[in-house]
Amino acid sequence: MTLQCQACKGTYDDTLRDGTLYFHVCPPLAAWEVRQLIAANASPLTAAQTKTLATFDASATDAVTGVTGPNRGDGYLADLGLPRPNARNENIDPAKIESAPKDAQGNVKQTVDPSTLMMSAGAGAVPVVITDGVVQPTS
Amino acid sequence: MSYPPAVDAPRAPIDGFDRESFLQGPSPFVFTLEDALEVDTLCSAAGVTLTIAGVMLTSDFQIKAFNFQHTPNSNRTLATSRFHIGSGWLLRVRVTASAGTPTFSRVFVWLRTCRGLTSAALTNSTITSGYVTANTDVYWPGNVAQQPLDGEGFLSSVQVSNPAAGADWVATVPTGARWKLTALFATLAAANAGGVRSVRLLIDDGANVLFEVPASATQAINTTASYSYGQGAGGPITADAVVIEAPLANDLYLLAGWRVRTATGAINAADQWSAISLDVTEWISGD
Repeated sequence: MTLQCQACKGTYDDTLRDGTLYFHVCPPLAAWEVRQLIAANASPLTAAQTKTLATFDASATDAVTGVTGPNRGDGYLADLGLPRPNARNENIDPAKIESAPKDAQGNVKQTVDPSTLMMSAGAGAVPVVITDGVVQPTS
Repeated sequence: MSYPPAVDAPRAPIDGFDRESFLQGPSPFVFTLEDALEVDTLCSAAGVTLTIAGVMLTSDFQIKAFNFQHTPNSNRTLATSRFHIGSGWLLRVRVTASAGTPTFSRVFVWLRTCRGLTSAALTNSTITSGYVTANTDVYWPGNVAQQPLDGEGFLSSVQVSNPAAGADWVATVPTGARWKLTALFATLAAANAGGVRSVRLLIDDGANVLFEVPASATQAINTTASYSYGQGAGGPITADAVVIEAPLANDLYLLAGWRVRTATGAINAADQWSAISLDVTEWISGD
């Protein structure tokens, strides 16, 4: 089944071609997204990160790579890998397995909603179909 | 002469002896009616059912076969089944995949003994352990017990989520897995805006960057370029602006929760990463 994450809008199949389950994780914020948040007075940066960003933004073009000052700041932001608000991480949280309702043998009950065992369900995911690159919800 | 355990140990009058004699048990695994056979599995394959078949020498000297089934979870979490197999000695036991077609390093099995059938059971020995495939079994006696990280691993092609436009991509090692990253491929369609894109690949532990490799070339705007990273890869083999390659560290083992991701310098809100695939060797971590 193809799904679209409602936090990052990424699309993915929940099962790999070899039958292995796939666990989606939202990518970090892109540099331009961080700068949008800064402009909206909702900066996700710490004071130290803000200072470092200013240093990179003000720095001269890199003599080796030719990367210009603002792009060096963007590189710094990309490296930080700042988490996306309401991000989804479908990987199983071992602590939630421990505390989940169990059957008599000690296994997690089959009636348990898998999303309650994820690291973070975030904004959720919905089934979609992708036709010629266009993502549409399934009817 | 050593004697089998007193509990339920069979005694028999033997001609020529004036008393009952203890008989040496034929197996170190003696079961009373309080004991059970425990099957624990960690599995990454879907649709697998295991059959556990074996033979007991019962306490009244009968040969008795047993056969039962166990369904592993497909998300690498522990699944446990416990079965009474009667009292006596375990003579032989075998675990096979009776449904599904798991390949190596996807279904790990422990066969154990325990007292009790519920989650409060006391597990008190491991008979054998190892990976079961569609055509290979785990058995006792004679099998060499394995641990989950033993063996050559499972070769997997992992198709990573296509991010939304303007975002980089990330792949995370799933809970219960260990990866060795061998190669990866991804495509970036750069919009007709902004500056040249400079792609870097990062490996981190979820927080701290452990390894960072810049692509061997930058990408011009309004182009679509493929990126290949691989162990043993060098610089560009030919000067091709849209087929860009770079090396990976050898033996790049990654623990659960560690991430493989890109950080694209000057990424534009209309840029699109797609066709992202990782070539990994995977083991059940057994953590």
